[in-house]
Amino acid sequence: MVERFKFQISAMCDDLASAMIDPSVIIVQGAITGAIYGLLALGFTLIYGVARVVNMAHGALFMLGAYIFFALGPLGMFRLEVAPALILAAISLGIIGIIIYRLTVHPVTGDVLAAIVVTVGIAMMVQQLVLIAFGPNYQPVPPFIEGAATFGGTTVTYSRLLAFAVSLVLFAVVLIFIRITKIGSAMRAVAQDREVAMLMGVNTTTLYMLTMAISTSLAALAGILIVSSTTLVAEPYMWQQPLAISFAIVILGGLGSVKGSLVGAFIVGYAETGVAYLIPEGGYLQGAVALGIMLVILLIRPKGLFGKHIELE
Amino acid sequence: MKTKTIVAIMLTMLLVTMACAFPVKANPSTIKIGVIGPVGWPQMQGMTEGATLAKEWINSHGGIVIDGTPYDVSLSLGDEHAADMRPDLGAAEMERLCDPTRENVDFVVGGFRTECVSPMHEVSVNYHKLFFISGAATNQLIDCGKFGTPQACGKCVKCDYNKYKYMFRVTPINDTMLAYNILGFLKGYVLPYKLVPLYGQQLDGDPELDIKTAVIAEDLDWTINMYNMFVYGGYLGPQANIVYSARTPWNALDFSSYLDSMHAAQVRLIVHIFSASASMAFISQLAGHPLKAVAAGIDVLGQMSDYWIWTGGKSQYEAFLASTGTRSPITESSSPYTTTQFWDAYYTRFGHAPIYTAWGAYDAIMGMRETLQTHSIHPPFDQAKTDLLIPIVELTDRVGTLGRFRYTSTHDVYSNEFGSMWTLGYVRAVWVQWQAGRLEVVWPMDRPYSKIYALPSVSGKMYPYPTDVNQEAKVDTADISAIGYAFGSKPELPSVPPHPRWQFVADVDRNKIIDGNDNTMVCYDFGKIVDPLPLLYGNEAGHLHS
Repeated sequence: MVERFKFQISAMCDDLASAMIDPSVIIVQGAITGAIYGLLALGFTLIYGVARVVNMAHGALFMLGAYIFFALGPLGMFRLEVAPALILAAISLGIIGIIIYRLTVHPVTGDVLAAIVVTVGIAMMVQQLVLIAFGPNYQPVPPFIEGAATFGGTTVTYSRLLAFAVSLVLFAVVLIFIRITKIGSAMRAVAQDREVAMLMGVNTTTLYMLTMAISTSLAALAGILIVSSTTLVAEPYMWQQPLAISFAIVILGGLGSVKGSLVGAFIVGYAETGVAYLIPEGGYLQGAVALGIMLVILLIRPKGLFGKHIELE
Repeated sequence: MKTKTIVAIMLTMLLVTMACAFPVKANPSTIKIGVIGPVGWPQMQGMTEGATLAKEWINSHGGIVIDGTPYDVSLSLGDEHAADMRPDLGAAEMERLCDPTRENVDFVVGGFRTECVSPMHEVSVNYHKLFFISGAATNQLIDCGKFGTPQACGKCVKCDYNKYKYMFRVTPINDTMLAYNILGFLKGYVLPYKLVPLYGQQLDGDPELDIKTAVIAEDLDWTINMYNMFVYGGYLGPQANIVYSARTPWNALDFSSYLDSMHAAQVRLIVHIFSASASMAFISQLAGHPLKAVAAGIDVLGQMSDYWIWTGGKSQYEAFLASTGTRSPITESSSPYTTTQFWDAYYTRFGHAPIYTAWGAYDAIMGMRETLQTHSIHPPFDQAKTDLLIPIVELTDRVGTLGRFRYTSTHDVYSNEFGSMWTLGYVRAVWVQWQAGRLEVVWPMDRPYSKIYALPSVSGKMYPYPTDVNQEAKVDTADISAIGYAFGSKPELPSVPPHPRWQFVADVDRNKIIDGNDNTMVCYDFGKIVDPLPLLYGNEAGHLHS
């Protein structure tokens, strides 16, 4: 085992030494991966920032979004076009998010640990329901646009570019929403001080439900866009990896910080892309390297990069 | 009152526990078979469905008759937890299946992910239950290859036969033989006869021509041997110039960086080794990438008939090892089902093609049926009876659905062929290629159902001259003959027998019928030759000319 370890380290060092580096690959692919990861983490950080709920069912809802899109979309039971299927899937997950919140999370509001336990249970339940409804078969989620574009030495499929663009737009929309709208102001107020916000007339229950709906809709959109640009299938166990990535990103960026999530996502995205490109023999370590960077940053800044809550966005 | 309530509850719990502790009385007229695999993945679906097909056939034909006593077959399913990579939970599931006070199965079929199979194997050893592997290829499970040396694992059949004799592998062939099959096809055919004549290049004045090759594999136990053989062992031979190699996470989603690097390295041949859904991401992204390379390796999920749908047809031209192609008549003498009869029964019952784990589970159960019916060993199979069964199972020599089958001395699948011919008929891996929605066998080449291996021609990727049907750089009578032989044939749907003479490469206009139009197109270009395609990667300008 030691010999194997030494051998692999040697192979990775050879990779790094001989790498013909084309910066465009890392710059472009890292940015796209980062933005897509950011979309994945956006809903997760939003619900924590406002309602202090660590939603461990986020990955499962990401998966459910992809499945619902399949069922509604051109290859599913309802055979709708892509755009209406996408919108309906997002709305459905929003409604499901409200139901989940009202029935399971609301009774334990304020107890972070209880919310974690409850949402883990929700995640397991969603997985089993998906297995019952769709079976263990993979369900196709084809790309929305075929073709690819070349930027320097790298090629990006149009579906990934679409996911990238949508991610950035959604981030901008969420940030603007939080800053400009009344509901956004209420969210910030509740995030800062729940009791005072309630005294000011903010209905926190309604606000939390709305935030949950937005969060789960974002998870659904992330699920659909990511699956349609990568594996092209929805499978019952695909929720675990996105959950782990989301968790790492929001911890890195600072729990509850939308901007922090975006920055954290780009850090993770660039780290993974860098490892895959520069050290392909060690490509399987891309996740570990990204998490390692997260750990280092947390050692320096335990609250995360931005380490503040949504009220200060 | 409160004390009474507590005492009542505790008494109830004690009684329930005692009831659960009594050994489950096995149904005396049933042989219970455990099926354990990665629930939620197609591999377990295949195991379950293959086992179900066997069970249903057996039960509808009088059961397994031992000394005149009929025994029905029942199945008990378990999750090896490969999907969430929890081998500890998989071992617990195996415990549940084998425990006499719980499921108390008579033997177990399944096992896919090696990391999960190893602890499950230990459990089966503890309970002295036969364990027929129908999914894991890793050599180390059966024979670590270091017996008699200080590095011997001590945990395989070879190293400690008396303890680990309960494991038998039915399918697939082990990873070493898989590697030899890869070498047989790539080193023996694709490189020298397909790629080198078209794209071979010299390096540093070396008179030999070679092809820039990439090896990309998921980072799991079963790929290590093959990966090292190809990348560091030079087993692919001097015509494969390994310019790029990568080990990816088994659940990788994005292969952009890897593909960009291969493109920069001007790779022509990619040897890919995947067993999970990452292969779909890889193949789909490869199809959309300007990289002008052909993928030929191992893609476990590629065997699924739905793979074509999942990838939106992007798996066209992908070649990999499999047990069989779409409804390929591997053997006509297996019983009760021949290969195509099994395929048809499976497709009718479940609506999709069988994956290799399905063939393995089915053959394992039917093999045990034959063994039990010819020997007077009645269930339930305790340690003594299992120990009696083992030497009998070791002598298995039957024709299964994938060919003639027997075990090696260490309980592995006996497989000894990997060349262009399949003369002896023992189980082997075949090379298949996705062609127009069908998985066609392209290696061995001597079978009547074998087709011509095609280099990608879509978008001019590798060979943009469809009128050169056999891709030998000239349009001549050989191309017309190929069309003539296949004239009038169609590929048909997977569940309908294809025309036996169908050849994808002869369908010049890609309209899924070989007709006069294909002939006309070839005649129009008759006599033309292809310029040697330039060695420069980025701007192929070779063309047909008279």
